[in-house]
Amino acid sequence: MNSRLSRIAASFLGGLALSACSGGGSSSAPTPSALPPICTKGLAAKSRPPQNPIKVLGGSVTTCATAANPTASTCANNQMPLVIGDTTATYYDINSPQTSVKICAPGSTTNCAIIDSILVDTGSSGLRLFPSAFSSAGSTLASNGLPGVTVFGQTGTLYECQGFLSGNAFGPVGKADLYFGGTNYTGEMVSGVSVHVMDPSGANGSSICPNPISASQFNFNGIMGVGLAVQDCGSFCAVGANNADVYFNCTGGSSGTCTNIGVPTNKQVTNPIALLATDNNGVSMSFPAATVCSGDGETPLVAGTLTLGIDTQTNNSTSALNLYPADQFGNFTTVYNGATYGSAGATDGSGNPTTLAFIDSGSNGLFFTDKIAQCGSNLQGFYCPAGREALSGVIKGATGSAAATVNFDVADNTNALNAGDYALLNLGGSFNNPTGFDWGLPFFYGRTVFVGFVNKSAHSGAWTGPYWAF
Amino acid sequence: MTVKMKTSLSDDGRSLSKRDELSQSVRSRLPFLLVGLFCVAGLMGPVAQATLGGSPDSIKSDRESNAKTQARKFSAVKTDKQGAFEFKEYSHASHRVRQYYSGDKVFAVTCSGRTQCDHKQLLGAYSDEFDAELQKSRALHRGLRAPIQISSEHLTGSIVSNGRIFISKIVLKDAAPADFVLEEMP
Repeated sequence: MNSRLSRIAASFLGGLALSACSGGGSSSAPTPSALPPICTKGLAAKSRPPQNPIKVLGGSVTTCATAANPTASTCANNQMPLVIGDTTATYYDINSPQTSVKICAPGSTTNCAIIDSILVDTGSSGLRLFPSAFSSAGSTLASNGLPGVTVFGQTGTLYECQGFLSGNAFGPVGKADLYFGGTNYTGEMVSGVSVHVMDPSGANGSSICPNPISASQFNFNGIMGVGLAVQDCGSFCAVGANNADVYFNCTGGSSGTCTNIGVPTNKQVTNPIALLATDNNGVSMSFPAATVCSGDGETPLVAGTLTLGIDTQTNNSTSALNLYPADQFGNFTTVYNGATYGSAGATDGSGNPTTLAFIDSGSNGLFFTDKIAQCGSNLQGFYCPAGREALSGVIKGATGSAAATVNFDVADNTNALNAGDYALLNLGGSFNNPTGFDWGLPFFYGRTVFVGFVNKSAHSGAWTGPYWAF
Repeated sequence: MTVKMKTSLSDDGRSLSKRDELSQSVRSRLPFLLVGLFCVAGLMGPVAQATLGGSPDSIKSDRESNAKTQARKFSAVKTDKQGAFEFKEYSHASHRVRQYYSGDKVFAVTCSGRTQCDHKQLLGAYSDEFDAELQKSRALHRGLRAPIQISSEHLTGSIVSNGRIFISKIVLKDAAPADFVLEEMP
């Protein structure tokens, strides 16, 4: 601790402002003086709030802050507020951007629920909700109140087993109307969307979908996937012969008889933003840099914004941004420590990548391979260097884009976390073996990152998804 | 090295013959028991083969077992080399499975595809050990997509995904040749 305090003192003597501790990455050449200091607040560990697996805040966050406008202001019709951490935050909430959505039975304006604490994930597609999410105050919609999706020629209802590294999301697929953005969810609306209710009851121990995730594993009510793809599986799952083990026709519920089937793309769980009338070609996620790392255990909430659409309104312009196209596998290229990952990396001889490089708000750290010392205890698997490690990687699009050097740093976040900070700029973790570079949520601090959906165009038609831009 | 082995078709004969607790009378009936086991297995459909730690030929029976019962189009098993290490490989619409072997033992498996690979099938006798490690890694609260690290008594490796593709690389530590480098495995 003494040496740590010495480093902190040195950082102050060096004239570095504490408020700069959340400066985010930059694309300039790394120079030590330009890097933000380690988050120094909250060095004395405080007791954390008790874990509360399911939060229901009643849509209390209604303001939107961005990297360009750190002062939170009213959300426009195409903007949804994001929060990281709140008074019920736990370790589950580290760098976990969450929002709220109003969901209604198709065609109804009264049979509805407002669901908070939905993780916004740029690495998946589609809305998935835990059954317990429907129990919010004022809700008149039950988790089994959505009409099930049926597939032509099948007598049962549609279930899905969607794989995440943290487990498989299993449960029925239902249709719903969704409202988001603006004031009181009046901004944008999409009807008849296939949404996934993650209800693993009946599937445990079966061969249908092993290791299903449940609400008790997380501190959020669901996942809103706003990734590059429009559907969560796409044409591959439309062909029954592919036997993808993703969609099932179940008669008698999930514990009844379930058969793997192909599902037309318009019935699959779908990125709801891609179905909007106008703002449907992508999203951008933005967090102001100045608020990151400012928490001292008293005000741990960090606010940001999810803006719907790209170049469709004045608040989602890409005029000053660089384009980084992704390939069909959702990769671009990252070069780190001499190794090349992603679309320009190694393949298996059949053209399939054997490494990954991508941007993902569903990963709560920057994950890459290095020899930096790792943490123990609650941060096992994350890097805990003795001081700040100033690092950089080179990002390049899968096709035709300029290379950009991205500076970042990794530090020991144990004290900040113990103090109740859950927005951690310097959080890095290990890939164990060099199979990729995952630019997780810390990449979004101080930036506005655009996610362009597959086959949707923007930038006056010059950009067609899939791509990232920032 | 203590390895808990499950019943598996490719190495049953070897493991059963080593069990001291089998009576002589049972030993004399072993061929008939094995024939019976094969018949039961045939009726039950695909059975997890002893892949990791098993014979290199297990990938062939694995592929044939799956191809008989599933509508997918499976490629033929091919044999090739990656650096100094031989491997056998097959693929179908959703996955490519590769087994690295040395002598008569598979010491590493890799799998990549649109969805998570069937690790129970790939890891055979080591799938329980793998599952325990998987749960441990998932409890580290690293979000939806942080890489899964596997480092257990017998296994090392990782599972990674960007949401569009899943890549698994698992090595049987004690069986891997000394000059084998995990990073060299596609």
